[in-house]
Amino acid sequence: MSLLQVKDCGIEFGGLKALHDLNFALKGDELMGLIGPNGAGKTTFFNLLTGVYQPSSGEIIFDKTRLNELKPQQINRLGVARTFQNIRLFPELSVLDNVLCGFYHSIRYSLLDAVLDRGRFRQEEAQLREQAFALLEKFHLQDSAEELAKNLPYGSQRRLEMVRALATHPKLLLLDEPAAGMNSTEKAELIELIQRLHQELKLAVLLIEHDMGVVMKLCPRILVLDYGIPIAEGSPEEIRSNPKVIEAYLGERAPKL
Amino acid sequence: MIKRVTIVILFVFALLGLNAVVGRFLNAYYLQILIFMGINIILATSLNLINGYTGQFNLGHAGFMAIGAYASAAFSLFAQPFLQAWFGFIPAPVLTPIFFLLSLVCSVLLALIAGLLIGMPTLRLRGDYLAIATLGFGEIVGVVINNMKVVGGATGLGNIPEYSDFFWVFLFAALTVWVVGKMTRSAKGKSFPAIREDEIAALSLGMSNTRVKVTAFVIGAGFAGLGGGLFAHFMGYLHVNMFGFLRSVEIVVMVVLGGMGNLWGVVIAAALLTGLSEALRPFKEWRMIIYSLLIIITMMVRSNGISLKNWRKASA
Repeated sequence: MSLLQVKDCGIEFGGLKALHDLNFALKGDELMGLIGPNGAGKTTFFNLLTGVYQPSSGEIIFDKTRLNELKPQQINRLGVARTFQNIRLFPELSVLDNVLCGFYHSIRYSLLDAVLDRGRFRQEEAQLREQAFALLEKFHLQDSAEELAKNLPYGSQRRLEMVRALATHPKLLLLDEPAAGMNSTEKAELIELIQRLHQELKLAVLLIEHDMGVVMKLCPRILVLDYGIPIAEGSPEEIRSNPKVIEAYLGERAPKL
Repeated sequence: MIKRVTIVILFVFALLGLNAVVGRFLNAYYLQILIFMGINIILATSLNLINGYTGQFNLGHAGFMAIGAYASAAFSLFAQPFLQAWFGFIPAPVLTPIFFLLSLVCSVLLALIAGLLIGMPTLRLRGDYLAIATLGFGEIVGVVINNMKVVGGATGLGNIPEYSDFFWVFLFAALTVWVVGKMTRSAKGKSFPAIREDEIAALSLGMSNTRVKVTAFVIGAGFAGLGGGLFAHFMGYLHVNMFGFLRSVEIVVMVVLGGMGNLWGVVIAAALLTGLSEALRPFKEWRMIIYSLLIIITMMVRSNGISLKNWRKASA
């Protein structure tokens, strides 16, 4: 049984077809890559999945629920979390507070409990902070917990965004260019990190990435988009040797002189 | 639990003691300034929740204050005599505070309802548009009250029993600061600044933007109503002009000067600005110019607000 099913999905912006007849399924423990040239519709697809846009045709089914008409916050509560291509942290909040925001819909106490300073509030609040620190530690961010998010170096901001997404306890994690702007050491760490997460938390990961090294190493299965149309799907080897993909995205190896 | 109750009781007694001291050693003028400081702390802190923490620009806070003021005054003037006849057997020292509290309940309830009715449609608007919509709301409240004969209309409403004193005002000021502080420091309350910082990201974390915004707006409005109720029972007389656009702006200035979303900064700014506008009285016609200049200079030098916490951060 697949966790995510996309059937004939498409979206138009006033006559411009940004995505066209997209079909694929993702299993609950799968790690899949989404690649393609700029403007191919990768981020648009993420926005469809998370309810930022509504598909104009087709159907998206996640965990037996139809996502088509749902709002972003409802989709997140079903278990889809994401990061953004152009990092969207809460810049003026501390690193810890950013993570706490991710716990929002799993918090059981009410604001009234907080105001009355009830026992259950104190207890849960302490647990949340502990959980947040445990998550931050996994991503080596525990030492900067009190810093403002905007003051973190770029690579750490990307990792913090992942922590925050994970705090919502997702079943499916969507990563929009997680390696963008990272140096090679950071990239190597990131690959290891995503692999570990994927195994430890048993969650499905769909990631957009332009760095082929990262994608090929991480993802057993890759989907390629071009002009909103899926042109290929398969293992890294298949993708690498697919003539359509080479033409549209990867490019020919330069002939030896 | 027992420890916390003791702290609350101790605090109340300390306030009562202070109340006696203040009533004995300060003349009426200084006492009035002190009480205005307390009321302004309530107003500024509640607006801080809306404008500062949640980032929803509300320019009609005086409107909620007016609703609260008139609601509680109406209770004291019209409902209290009836109740007095029924419950007259209870001695006055017990009965009066109960009536006062009931009138404040009226002010909070009505302001809450107004906040909900205004908040639900207008909070879909962003930035400047929301500011204009709330500004319009404040004006409408003024016009409506001006035309309500029951509450005196344009002649104003007098003879309101003067129940508010130092004790009550600062008790409720402390309550306001406590509530706003407790909420915004809890993990759940981090949703307020999250909505301010990045709405799309907040949605992607499962926060409902409408719900968070309306919550902040309604709670803020409720406390503004409370401030209005205290104000009515201190002045003994109400007129629409007391709750004009400039009153709203005054509260916004306190929030901005204290630092948006800075709990204690705003409390300090509310007290300072109340004192400042009085202290500048000897300068007569120069008063408003000096006042404005001081605000401009402060904003240029300390754009994040006056509090010490920001000072350290800024200089680091």
